[in-house]
Amino acid sequence: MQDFLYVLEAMVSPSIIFAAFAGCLWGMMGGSLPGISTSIAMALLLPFTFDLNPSTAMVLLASVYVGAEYGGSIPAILIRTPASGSAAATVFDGYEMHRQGRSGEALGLSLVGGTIGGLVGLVVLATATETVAQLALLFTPPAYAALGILGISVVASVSSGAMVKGVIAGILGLMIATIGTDPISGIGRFIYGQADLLEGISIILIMMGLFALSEQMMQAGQPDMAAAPEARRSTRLVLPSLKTLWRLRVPQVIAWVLGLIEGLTPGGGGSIASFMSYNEARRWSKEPEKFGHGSEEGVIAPETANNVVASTALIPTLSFGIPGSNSTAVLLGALLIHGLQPGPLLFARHPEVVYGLFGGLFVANFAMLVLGVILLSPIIWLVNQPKPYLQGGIFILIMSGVYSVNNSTFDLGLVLGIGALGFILRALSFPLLPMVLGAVLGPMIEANYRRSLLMGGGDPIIFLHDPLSATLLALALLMLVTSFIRETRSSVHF
Amino acid sequence: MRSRLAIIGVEGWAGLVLLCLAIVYWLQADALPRSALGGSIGADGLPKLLGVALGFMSCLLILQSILASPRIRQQKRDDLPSRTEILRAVGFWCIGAGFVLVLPWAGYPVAVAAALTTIGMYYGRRPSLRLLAFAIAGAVIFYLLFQKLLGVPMPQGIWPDLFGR
Repeated sequence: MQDFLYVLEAMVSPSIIFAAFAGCLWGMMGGSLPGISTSIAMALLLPFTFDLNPSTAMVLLASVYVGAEYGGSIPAILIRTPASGSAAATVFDGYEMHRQGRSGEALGLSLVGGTIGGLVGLVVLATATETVAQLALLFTPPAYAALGILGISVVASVSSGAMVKGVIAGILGLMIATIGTDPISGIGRFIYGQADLLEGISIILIMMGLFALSEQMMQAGQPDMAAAPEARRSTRLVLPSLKTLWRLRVPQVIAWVLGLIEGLTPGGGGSIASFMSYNEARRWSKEPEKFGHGSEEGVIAPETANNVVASTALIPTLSFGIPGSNSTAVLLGALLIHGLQPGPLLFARHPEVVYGLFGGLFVANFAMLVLGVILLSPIIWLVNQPKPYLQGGIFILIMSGVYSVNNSTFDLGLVLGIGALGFILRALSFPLLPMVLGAVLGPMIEANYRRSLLMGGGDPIIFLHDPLSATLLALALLMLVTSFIRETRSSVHF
Repeated sequence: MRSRLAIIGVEGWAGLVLLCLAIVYWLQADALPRSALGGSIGADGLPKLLGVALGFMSCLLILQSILASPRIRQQKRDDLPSRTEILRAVGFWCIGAGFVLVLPWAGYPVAVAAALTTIGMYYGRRPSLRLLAFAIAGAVIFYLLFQKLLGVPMPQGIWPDLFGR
């Protein structure tokens, strides 16, 4: 009862409400700028929290996290530029909806789906933190590696009519992830004397190049060069009706479940949850053929999932002190700065901070909805300007965002190269999604693959001895084989 | 050349290029130095596995392309962008490359204004006061957003040295 009072107290506290709105606004702004990731937006605000009381500071930072997770979907839908990994899966149907003049509808789905998802995640966070955190303990290194492989296999197998190309794209993504210093031996791999490559290629550069720059190159080839985008007629936000939300209940429930599981899994994060939700929503959809062509389900599933993760990712952070992502690592740092030690004792010693944070997050989700309604219509108007102005603005936004990651002009050259690669792959009808997922999951897969082999004395049989790993790998194989047979049957002429 | 393309198909050629990439990547991985810190698997463990996997999948792609019906092969050729589309895309890419080359010495605001003007003209706008105003306004807004508000140290170019003297 006392815990519930802490939650209520936070929800009516003016300082908490202000922190939630301010954090959310900053997060939406930072999250929507390519290159300014969620963790960077949070880190930029960290110095301002030193003088705040711990509850307000935590709410401020967690609200940035909530706002940024949503903000990433704005450029993903409007300019095919996902500002974060967790918004990458939104690009496909969100941008298609924009091209069809349904920007307001896509942003409305993303906003409301995200808000509901955030609230669902929050309920789980508040009620079951300590119990459900035990699930994460089931994942051994072989299971983690298998989970990553399953993720890529799922995405590749549903690449419409192009499973082989999807797997190839996934492997190319994994190859890109191997560039840089090997974290175990310290050996530089595939860097060819370039010091700028020692830390590897940032995932944001890969996404900017593959998605955004390749799209700009595609757009440059279109004949309607001087015209405004097709979506000019849609300039206002359209919130989904209750009937629409009920019709879209299946992808939302899928996203809730996957968002919950991924949030609990350290290293999982919003990217995997949104990719998996997108694919599962497609698998369970009555209209799978609409995916990739402006499907509402294809927008609401990933957007709901990444907002569920924004809440549930706090569970391992608060319960075990294990941050699942860079963003929760910043939050963990802020806890420590304020003298709060994460772990089970945090709930006993500082309930006002923990439950105050839950209350603040509730306000933050509400703030996201309000700010979204106010800000999105002007943003849609801005994006519907004629191509000559719009394309220049997008190009500078991409380049400025890329530069701000490492303050390096080398990165700009790199992103141009990746953009050219993306253009070639798109021209040859290779799906880009598995490639991005491969690059995102590469470090996690490699670390756990090597750890597993070390545990098994170099014998790969360990992946089959672990029941969870064996199940996940069998699922991956099953999906790939069935998809390959289906694809070959439809195209081969005997 | 055209008949060869017809036999193996666009995807078959893509598969051949990928197969070459897989071989080169595997050889490069094999050439990685060994370290006692790397454990029994080593830094080359996963890359070699990926090289083999890419090689295998490339062969599948080639096989698929060879076995594909002539109708599907023709359809895939038709799906390729036209020469004009490719040339315009390359042109846009060159503007991007120009921006990257100019940025370090021209500085962020000037390079941004120049890029906005060039892209506007590339998309068919004639040089005009309106385009110039758009470029200057864009440069100021982006400068204020990234340099001042977010504190990203954007390249200053030669201007501080010039005015410093």
